[in-house]
Amino acid sequence: MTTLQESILNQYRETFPNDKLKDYCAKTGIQITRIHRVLNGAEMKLSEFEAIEKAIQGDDPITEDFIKTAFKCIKKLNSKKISEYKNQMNHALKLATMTELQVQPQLFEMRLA
Amino acid sequence: MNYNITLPERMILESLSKKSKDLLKLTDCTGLQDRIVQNILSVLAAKNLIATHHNKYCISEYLNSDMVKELNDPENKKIEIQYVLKSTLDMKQKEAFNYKKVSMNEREKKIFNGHIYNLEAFIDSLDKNKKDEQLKNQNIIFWGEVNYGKVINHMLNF
Repeated sequence: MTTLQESILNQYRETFPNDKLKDYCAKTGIQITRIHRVLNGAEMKLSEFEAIEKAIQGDDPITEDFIKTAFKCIKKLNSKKISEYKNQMNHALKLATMTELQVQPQLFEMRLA
Repeated sequence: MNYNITLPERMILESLSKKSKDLLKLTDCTGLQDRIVQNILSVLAAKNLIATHHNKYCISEYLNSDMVKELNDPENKKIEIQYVLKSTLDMKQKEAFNYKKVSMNEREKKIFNGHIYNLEAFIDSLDKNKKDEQLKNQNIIFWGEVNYGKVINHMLNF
């Protein structure tokens, strides 16, 4: 299985941890036997990769619009401006992670040891 | 290594740079929830910026002047200011941010500069008088002015 294929399947599992084969089928439109083969290591077609990627992103118009705008920015803006937006996005991600995760204090102690 | 840090991380570092603290004192000083403080401590420890000593968190002995310089990098400061301004505007408190476009002649500009001078002198005197341990009780003040035309041109040429 290619790294890219493994990565997209892992993303799918993280997004929909309880999905069964029929749910994969319903969300991606890929046949159930084909999904079974892909999950067992058969090489994925580009169209299947895109279908799974779309299922992960969902039909949320805000997400779709955001991705389109990001691609437009990459084409139009200079590297300094892109880097500035990237920094802002990373900053926002860090803040989100900070409020979501619960770190076990003993892990911190282990890291310091 | 790039030490670009978030505002809450900076707040924890500021607090620890004044005095070593345990988790309870850190949450009290910063006003942040303890689980968030724990997350931040873990991130800062992974970057080798803090350590523990006698059950208290402190600034790491490995934090040298180069690291401090990088933490205060102008780009990092710019992000800090952007986030403070953005949060202030989002908070929608009437008195928090005032903004007005005005025309000033030479005389008015001199009067304005005089007010700014007095304000800065007052702010400097506050810094010298108090060393408040409770960072959450501190106030962020911003002031300044810019030429309208110049700021728009900068925006377009950036």
